[in-house]
Amino acid sequence: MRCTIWLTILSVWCLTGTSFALEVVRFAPLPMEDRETVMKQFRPMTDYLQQHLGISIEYVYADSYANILEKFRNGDIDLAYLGPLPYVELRGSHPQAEPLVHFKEASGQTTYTCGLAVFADSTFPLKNLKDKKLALTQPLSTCGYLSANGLLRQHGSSLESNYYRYLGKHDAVALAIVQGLFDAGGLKTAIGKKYAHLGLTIIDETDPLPSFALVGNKATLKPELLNQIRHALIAIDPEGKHRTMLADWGDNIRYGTVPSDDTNYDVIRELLGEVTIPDEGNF
Amino acid sequence: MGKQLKHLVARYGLIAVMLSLSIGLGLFLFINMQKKQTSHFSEHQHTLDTAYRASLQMYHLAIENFYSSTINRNDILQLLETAVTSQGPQQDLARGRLYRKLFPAYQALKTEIPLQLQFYLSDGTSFLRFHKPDRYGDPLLEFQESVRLANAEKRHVHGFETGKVRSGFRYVFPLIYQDRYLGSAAVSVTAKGIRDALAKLDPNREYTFLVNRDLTEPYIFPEQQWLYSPADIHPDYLLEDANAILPDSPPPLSAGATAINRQLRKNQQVQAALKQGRPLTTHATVDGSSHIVSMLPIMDIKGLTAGYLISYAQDPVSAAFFTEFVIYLTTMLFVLAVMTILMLRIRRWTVALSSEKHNLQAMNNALAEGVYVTDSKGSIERINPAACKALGFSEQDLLGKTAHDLFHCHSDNAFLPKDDCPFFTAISQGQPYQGEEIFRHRSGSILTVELASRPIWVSGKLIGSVTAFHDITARKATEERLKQSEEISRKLSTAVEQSPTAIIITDLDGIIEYANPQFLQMTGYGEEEVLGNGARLLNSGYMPNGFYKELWRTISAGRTWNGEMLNRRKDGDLYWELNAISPIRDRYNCITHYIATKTDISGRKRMEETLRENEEIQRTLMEGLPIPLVIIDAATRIIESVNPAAAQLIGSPEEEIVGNRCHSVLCPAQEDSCPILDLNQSVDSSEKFLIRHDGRQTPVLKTVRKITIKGREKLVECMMDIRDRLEAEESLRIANSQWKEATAKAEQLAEAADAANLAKSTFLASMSHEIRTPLNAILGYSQLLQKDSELHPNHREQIQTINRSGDHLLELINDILEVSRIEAGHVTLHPVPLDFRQLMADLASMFKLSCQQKDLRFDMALGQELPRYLNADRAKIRQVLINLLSNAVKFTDHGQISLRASGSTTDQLNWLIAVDIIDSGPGIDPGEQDKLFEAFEQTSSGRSSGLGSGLGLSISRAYAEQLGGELLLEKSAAGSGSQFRFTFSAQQCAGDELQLTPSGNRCQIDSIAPQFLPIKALVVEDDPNSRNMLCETLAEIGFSVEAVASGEEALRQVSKWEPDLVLMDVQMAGMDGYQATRHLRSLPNRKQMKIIIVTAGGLASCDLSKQTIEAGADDYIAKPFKTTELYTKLKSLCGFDYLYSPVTITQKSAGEIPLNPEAVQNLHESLLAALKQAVDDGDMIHFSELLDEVGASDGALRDYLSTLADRYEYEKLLNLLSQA
Repeated sequence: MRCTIWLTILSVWCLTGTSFALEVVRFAPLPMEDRETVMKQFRPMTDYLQQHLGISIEYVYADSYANILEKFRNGDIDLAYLGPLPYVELRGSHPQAEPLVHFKEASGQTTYTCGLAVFADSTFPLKNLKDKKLALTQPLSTCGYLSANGLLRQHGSSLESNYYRYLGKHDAVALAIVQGLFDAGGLKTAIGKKYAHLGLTIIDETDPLPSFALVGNKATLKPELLNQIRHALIAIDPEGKHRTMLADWGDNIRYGTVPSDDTNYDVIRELLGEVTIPDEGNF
Repeated sequence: MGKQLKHLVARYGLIAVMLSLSIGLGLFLFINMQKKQTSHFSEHQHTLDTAYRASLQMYHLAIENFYSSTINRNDILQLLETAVTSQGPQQDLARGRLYRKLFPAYQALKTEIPLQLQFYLSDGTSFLRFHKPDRYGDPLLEFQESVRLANAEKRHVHGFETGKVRSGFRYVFPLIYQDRYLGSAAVSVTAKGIRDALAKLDPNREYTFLVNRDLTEPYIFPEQQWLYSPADIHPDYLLEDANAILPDSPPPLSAGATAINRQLRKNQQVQAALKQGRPLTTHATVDGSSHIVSMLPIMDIKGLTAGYLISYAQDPVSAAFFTEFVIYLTTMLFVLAVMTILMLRIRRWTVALSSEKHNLQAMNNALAEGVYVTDSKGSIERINPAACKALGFSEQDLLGKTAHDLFHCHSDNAFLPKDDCPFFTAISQGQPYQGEEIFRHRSGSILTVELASRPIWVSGKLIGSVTAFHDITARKATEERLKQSEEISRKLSTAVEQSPTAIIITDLDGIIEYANPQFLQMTGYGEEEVLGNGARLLNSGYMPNGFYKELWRTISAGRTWNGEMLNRRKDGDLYWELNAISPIRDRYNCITHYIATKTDISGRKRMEETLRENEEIQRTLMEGLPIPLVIIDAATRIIESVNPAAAQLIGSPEEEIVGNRCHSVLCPAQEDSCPILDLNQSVDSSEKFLIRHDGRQTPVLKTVRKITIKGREKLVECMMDIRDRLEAEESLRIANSQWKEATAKAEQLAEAADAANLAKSTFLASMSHEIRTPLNAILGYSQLLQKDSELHPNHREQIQTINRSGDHLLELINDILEVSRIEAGHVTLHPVPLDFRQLMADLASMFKLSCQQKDLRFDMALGQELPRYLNADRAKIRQVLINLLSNAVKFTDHGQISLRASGSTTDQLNWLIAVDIIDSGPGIDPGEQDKLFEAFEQTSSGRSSGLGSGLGLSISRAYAEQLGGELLLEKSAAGSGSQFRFTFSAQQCAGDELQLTPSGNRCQIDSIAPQFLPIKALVVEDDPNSRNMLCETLAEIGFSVEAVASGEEALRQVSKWEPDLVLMDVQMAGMDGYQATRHLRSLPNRKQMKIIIVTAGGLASCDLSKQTIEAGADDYIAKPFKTTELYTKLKSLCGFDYLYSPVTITQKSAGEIPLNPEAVQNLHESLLAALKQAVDDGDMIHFSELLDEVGASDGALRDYLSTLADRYEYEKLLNLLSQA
């Protein structure tokens, strides 16, 4: 009897031998902050997915948003953590990009805002701002040109009336302002607030935008796996049994998730409208 | 004991000394190598330590400078004071300004040194991290000793320390402004910094930096944990960012260094050193490459081993030490080995020489021959004792004397001068000499000696000779006597050897000492086989007991024994011999040997035996022969002898017959006309009559032959009683005549039967074709017309009636053809797994309703032993049971119908299932029971009912027999019902083999999917109705269709139009469909074209399939066919897809479907009746087809009925249909 059981197990193992090789999923986090911070934020989440889904997750790191989108389109990335604008750009050229879940903000909302930040001792008024130096993240960053220009326009100004330059990451924008290299800058409000102890002040912020999302590549991953990833993340209960586990997760992703849908991004599409975002700064 | 020890020392002493010497020298060389290596390791360790300290010193100076010139400035300290003394936004602003102020200097230094800068408050709380600006406010006092010391003692503190983010060398400076202690600033150099500095100092080494697990793991930020991984070399240490993910991490270790680490994990010395925090330099070899590894413990501020700096480098020096050691050791061992071998060899030679000398001396003294050595002048120098003894002199008498002078004389005892003595002349000239010489004994007696002398030469100079001699005087006398004796022996021996009589001489025990050639020839033995063996070698074992005792008694007594005995040759043959054995006596008259002379008398003995045997055989033959035999003297014609069989046939005793004339008994009618004696025939073989003693004549077959015995002619008569044979021949003749008559009659009947059968087959085939062809058109057109959505409802019902009638007709034809196939043996079994209990339950559900309608009771009983799942031909079993149950219901008006099933098996695999169908109907008249199962036969009640074709039971019985069982009418009597028993054999199987066909969506084919179009189809059909119907059927779904009426036209059209598909009728005038197909297949480039044979013949499917393949067609379809069947075949053959009308059956519970009762009533009466009949008959396939017609007018009703059927809710179905 025991022999039979072992033989059966052996046969099944032989027949399904390949299934023991874990499926590899290539994940790219958006390089919003320095690499170490980004890795620290996402590592617990990818560990959780690996454990629950029996997959192996490899990190694909790129410093440019455009680079990530290009790799995604080429099938070199299976899963990415993207902000709304990068997603809308990606979806426009790659319909197989599928938003799986939105990450909730600390407020519990599935929206976030982008803000304009200055150093605490700055005295210039925002109205009709002119000839100031502004730090931006990346052309494809939601909180970059798109939001900063929108906010300035609300105050009778625009980026083109000022000097702006892309610095890449949100924390780089924050620190550049603290260091006095720029007068102001556009960044995600939540990140900006992390530098309040260095005198960084948010002086204006946008209306709520759809929060960051985990985007799957239908061209490279099976629909079943995408669904499994979505369900694994939705099943997380931030107020209940997963509270302790989430404490180690990055502050961008530790407040739970809700299912995502492409229609959520219509607001970004409207905001984008006919605006053409320059690829480089103007000074 | 002492002797043994001496022997051991002599034998193995030298080897032991040499081995000890080898080990000693080897140890010396090894220790020498170890010393060199230790010195080399020490140098390496020292180098690492120095480089490490130099790197630290370099950073120390740079950081001291940074502190004094950049941090410890009034403006910075003032800013810090503002920050630490304010709260809230003010503090944030001040902290921001501090960051802004110092950042450029920090950035500039960071490009040179990978460092971290952090400010602490006086309570040890982190105030500002330049390397991690978003983290602040965490307490560090307890964890970082350097900060605690700086705060407590207000002094510079520096040393290695683990951190919450990274480990490194921390330089902590107290910050005091205007006597106010503000806190401290710490600058840390990361492990990468140390490593980079070391790499610059010695680029040939690879470095890694390990941190102590116990001093690191508990303190680092939780989110940093992933960055640390266990070190390969020792589990107590961790490696920071082993994969170099972070930009300021050291590069990952090379594969070689990683392999060294794994190797050193097993090295006890390394493990112990790392555990104890000791420095160590060791050696490792990876992939044949030699490496030196130095481990330097790093102490933290508390003096604990906080980490290890490990360097790896190629190490040709250690390898060279080892190579040198191996070369020296090998050379030393080789030299010692050669010396040992040489010394052993010399010692062996010395011992051998000494031994040889001793042996020679002993041999000389022990020699029986006399030996003496002379010098060149002939004087005796040495002489052995044997020579002295032979000559009668003492050694002293002879030494210095000349042999020639003292004892050598010549044959005539004359003295010869030395120069004339040939012996002396030869040895004086240095020549060897050999011969017989005469020596004189001291007593004066003359000795004849045989001597041999050889000269002794040393370095080409004759120094003397050695002479050996022995006394042969006695031998010479003996030789003379022997010569005379041999002459006599030779003569005697020649006589014995040449003797024709076998002679052997044995000793007193009978052991053969001599055997002459004649004896060897007679017995077949070789000389070597008989000499030394006893004479009993020839014993045959057949001589009586006491025979040999008597023989021995005679010869032992000194007498001669004469007699015959049976002996055995070597090859096993027995032979008789005549023996004369005499003793041989010596001169003392004592018997020393026996001599035996033997003569082979086997030939004579054999002749005597043969004569005796022949007489015996003749006598036995005569008496024992079952054939009557009579011997008559030819001259006198007197009976000389009769055997018992002849006496019995004649009926008289032998003595009464012998002595009579032959004609009085044997052939009285042929007196004077004896075929042998009177008519000179050599043999007479004829039937005759003999006269028995009572005067009756007996017919016999007699054979007579003339023979000559001892010069007299005799007649030998053999007889055989032939009365029985004559009687049997008569019976056979009569039987033959009767058989010929019967055969002739049987042949006539067989011819008649063949003719009738041929006529029937021809009729059936013809009928099949003639009916099917028009029927095909009827069914085809009616199906096409039903698709017309604009058809008037009345016309639709009329067309549906036509279609159903056609179907009914088709079933009837199929029944008739099935009988025809059964008779021709064309029906085959298709066993599939089936749920037998489910099958019986379905049948019960079906027939329960029919019974209720006729107020009949229905019961079913299934034996417990019955297996659920069987492997058998489900369709045939079902058809037989439905037929029997239908008959039972049909002919029973009151009472009940029972269905009972039971099973039996011997091996639990093969089952014989028996199903009894018992009714309480009118029963079957005994006169009709015989014809019950014959085709086209109906009982009187069957005929009166007007139902059925009379084929059902005939087909059922044929099926039962095919299923390995039988169908029997168990019992039946008029008025008391009937019991039929149907048995079949089946195999038990696993239920999971069952393939249940789920009911699916019903779709109506609209057209071929556009991407597959155009598809060109050619219809070849001589019947215009069928042709047109087929064209329309194909065109309906999108085919481009053309049609021709013959095979010849088809060939032309295919060449011209190149269709993708050909539908080929079989029976056509001229070239038939199969011929046309073969021609089409031989056309060039038409291999891809699909050809379907369309036939109306009633052939079995296997025959059709065979003919189709042989002709080269791809598939066939039998007329009449359903449109969907044709469409399905075309799809699978041509590989295209259809577009379907989405007619999906909603799988709701039947109870949930709202049904308008009028919906059923709206169905046409004939359709309703057909549906009801199908349910009654359990023919759910036909029911399913009828549902298509229902769906044409009411889709919801079709779905509802279909769902009921799928769920086996036949009762509800029938109730519904009956209500309407």
